[in-house]
Formats: sequence, C-alpha cells, structure tokens
Amino acid sequence: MTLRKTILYSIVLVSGAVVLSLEILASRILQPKFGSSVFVWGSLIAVFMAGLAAGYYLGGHLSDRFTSFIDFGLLLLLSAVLLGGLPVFSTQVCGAIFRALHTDSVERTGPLLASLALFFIPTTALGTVSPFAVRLLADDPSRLGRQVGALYALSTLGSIVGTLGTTFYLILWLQMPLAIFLLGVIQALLAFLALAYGLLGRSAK
Amino acid sequence: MRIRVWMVLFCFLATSLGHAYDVIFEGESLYHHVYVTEEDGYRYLAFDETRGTQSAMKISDPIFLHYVYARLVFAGLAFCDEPKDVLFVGLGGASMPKFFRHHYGEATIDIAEIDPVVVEVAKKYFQFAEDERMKVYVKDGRVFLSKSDKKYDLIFLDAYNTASIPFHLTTKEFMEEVRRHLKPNGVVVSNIWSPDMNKYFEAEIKTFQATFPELYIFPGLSSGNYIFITTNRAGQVPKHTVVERAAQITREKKFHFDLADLLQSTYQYATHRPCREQVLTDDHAPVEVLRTQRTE
Repeated sequence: MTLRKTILYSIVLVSGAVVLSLEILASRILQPKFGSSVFVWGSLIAVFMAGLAAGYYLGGHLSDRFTSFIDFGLLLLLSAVLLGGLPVFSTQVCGAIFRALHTDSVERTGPLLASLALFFIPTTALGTVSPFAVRLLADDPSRLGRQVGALYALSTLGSIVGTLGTTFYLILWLQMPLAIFLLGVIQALLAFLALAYGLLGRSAK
Repeated sequence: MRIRVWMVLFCFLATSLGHAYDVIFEGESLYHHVYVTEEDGYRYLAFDETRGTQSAMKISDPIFLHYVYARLVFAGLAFCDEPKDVLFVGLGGASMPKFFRHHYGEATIDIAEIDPVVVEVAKKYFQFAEDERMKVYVKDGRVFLSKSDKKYDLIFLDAYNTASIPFHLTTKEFMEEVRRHLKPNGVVVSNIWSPDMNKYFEAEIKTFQATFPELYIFPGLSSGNYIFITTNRAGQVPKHTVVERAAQITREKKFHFDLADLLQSTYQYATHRPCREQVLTDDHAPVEVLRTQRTE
C-alpha cells in the first residue's frame, strides 16, 4: 500500500471514530438540560445524519474544485477548530435554549434546537472528509470500486471503535469539556498529517 | 438429532412459561417493556421481565406497603415539619404517593414521571388517581424542577432503580437544583438501589455529602435498596429524636407498620462517612461504568 493510501485510509478511519464519539458525548451534553427523554436521542441522530448528508454533498463539490492534500488538511483543520471550540459555549447555548422555551415544549423542541445549534456544523465538516478522501484516492479508475468500498468500510469500522471507546472508556476517563476538546486535537493531528504530506509532496516534485 | 434439540428447547420454554403468576398487562412504552403481574393476592409492576419488580400492591388493601424499603422511605417524615408540599420524582406503581395521600390528606402532591405508559398503568391497575391536590406531570424530573420555582417540604427521588441510571439525576448540579426547591426545613428522600457495594454507590454518597449539610442512610434490609435522607438545615438529628418522632407519627397517622421500630434498627448517620470516590458532576458522571466496578 502506498503512503498516500495509508494516510487517506487512516484519516477516514479516525474521523469515522470521531463522529460517533461526538454523538455519544453530545447526549451527555444535552441530557443534564433536556432530560433523558427519547427526544434527546431522536434529535441527535437526526441532526447528525443531516450534518453528514450536508457534509457528503459539500465535500464532494469542494473536492472537485480543490484537489490537493493541503486543501484537505485545511478542511480537517476547520473541523478541528469547530470541535475544539464546542465546549466553550455548549453549556451556555443549551441554557439559553432551555430558558427560551415554554415548559410544555422544552422536552421535545429543546434537544432538536440544541442539536442543530451545536452539532450540525461540526458534523457537516466531518462529513466532508470521506468524499474528499475518495477524490484524492482515485488515481486508477479501474480500481475505484474497491477503493471507495474500503474507505466506507474503514469509516464505519472507525465509528464502531468511536462508539465503544467513548461509552466504555472516554466517559469514565475524561471530564466532558476535555473529552470533546480531545476530539478536536485528534482532528488537528489528522490535519497536520494531510498538510505535511501535501507540503512534502509538493517540495519533492 | 435436530428433533431432540427442538424437544429440549420446547421443554425449556414450557417450564419457563409455567410461572405461578398471571401477566395481566404487557406493553411497550418509549422507555420500558412494562409488565403487570398478579400472584397470591399481590399485583406487581415490572420493567423488562428479567429485572426485579418496581412496585407491589396488596389487592385487598391498596394503601398497604409491601416492601420494607417502601416503608423506610417515610423515614423522611421524622426529619421535617408536617409536610404541606411534596414532590415525587418517579411514579412507578404509585404505592408511595397513594400511601402519603391517604395519611396526609391536606398536603399538595406533585409527581414528575417521564413515562406516560407508567402513568396510565398506575391509574388502571394500581388504583392511583389524580385529584385537585395530587397532580402528575409527564416530564423528566430535572426538566420539571428547572422550570419550576415551587418549594417543597419533602422531595422523594425514586428514579434510580431501572436498568440504566439516568446520570443527570445523580450529579451535584442536579442535587443543587433539588436543594433550591426545598423549604428551610425541607428534606430529600432518595431511593438508591445497590445490591452490591460498587463505586457508583460510593460516588453518590460523596455527591450527597458535597451538596447537603447532613446525610443519613437507612439500608433496606431485605432488598438492595438504600434510603438516603438529606436535610436542607445543618445539625444532626440524633437517633433517639428520629425514633421518638417516628413513633409519634406512627401513632397519630395510624400507619399499618411501626416506623419507629424500622428506624431504630436501620438509622445510620453518614454525613462524615469516608468515601474514596469523586463527586459526580454533569461533566463527569460515568455512573453506568462505576456501577459495574465493585469496591472492596
């Protein structure tokens, strides 16, 4: 396997883990304010799917325009900033939404609004990773099918690791703001990986 | 070979289905699989068949408290003034609200229960009825409290003994919210289920200690339940005072059991009980994991 492929596969794998880790942690952010009603999970899953859908679409478009590893790195860096900044205002946003809503509607509407406000944009950024990686990977059209398949599989395997790792370990080990911040750090490391490869590759040419 | 396997399976199913109790209601709610069963003159509420019962009602006497821990819960009465405003977080089979309603007809009772099916079942099968002084709010307990300014003499927290502990009802921030809703002499009674000594139990003790000036623990004797009593006011209420007041209440209210006897054998002053675990907070409350970790 080439270095290029290894890097892309790793980024997709780890980003897949970060998405689901964020989703589990998100439930821990919403529950203290909006309770443990089913609406918390329903809203979260819906908003994460919406964010990923938007990200796939956007990522596909962007990857046709910007085709370098450096662009990819910058996109990853954006997701890192969005994630790392999340704990700075998440409590205040939840509080403001909670106060703004009437007591009869807060349990249903609150989690949906808070999920949208806090997690739609970060998950959109995370969603751009896979299509962008596909574009950078696709060097040989005759092998495109298996390469895209491998990327999807790795992303989803990463999600499994993210889910289990977060519920069984991360929640136990880390305070909430730190755990989310850690996800930002992980995305930043991926960004530097892509940037380094892009820059070194360019100077090598 | 295959036939033999099926026969074994069939026999196994036949015996496991041949319970002595009758299932009189079975339904799916958003949160639980709810069972109502009957056996030997008692009606039981259970969530998910494999787990213990949530509540029991003697069919001939719906006010009767079958479980020791359900009686122990009323230890809270020995720590506060005559209660006028009371809140129950968690309804279950409504045995405690019904008992309280029966003996304290003048008090106003609010009940927060998250599961609408549980409320329906309590009304249909456990002789629970709302009236002008007893109202149920189908809400998460914490959401209910955060949106209210009402103050209570007694708050009963009974939402911890289901399959997963709602972590947001275990934290210091939640306890502070609860305390904000107490009158100066108010008391909180919590039913903590902990069949073995685990780190969650220790952490919960620590969290109560960190929020309230005084903590008393009454072990449920025959079950894994522990009744935690916390007071808004500082100052230990000594055992003999608690027992005397319990005796007086038992006499005046004509309880069907002797509360004084029960408290005499279970009273533990736990305000200064040493705990190694950390306080649970909204940012860090890994209650499910802690619950699986035993303490020596």
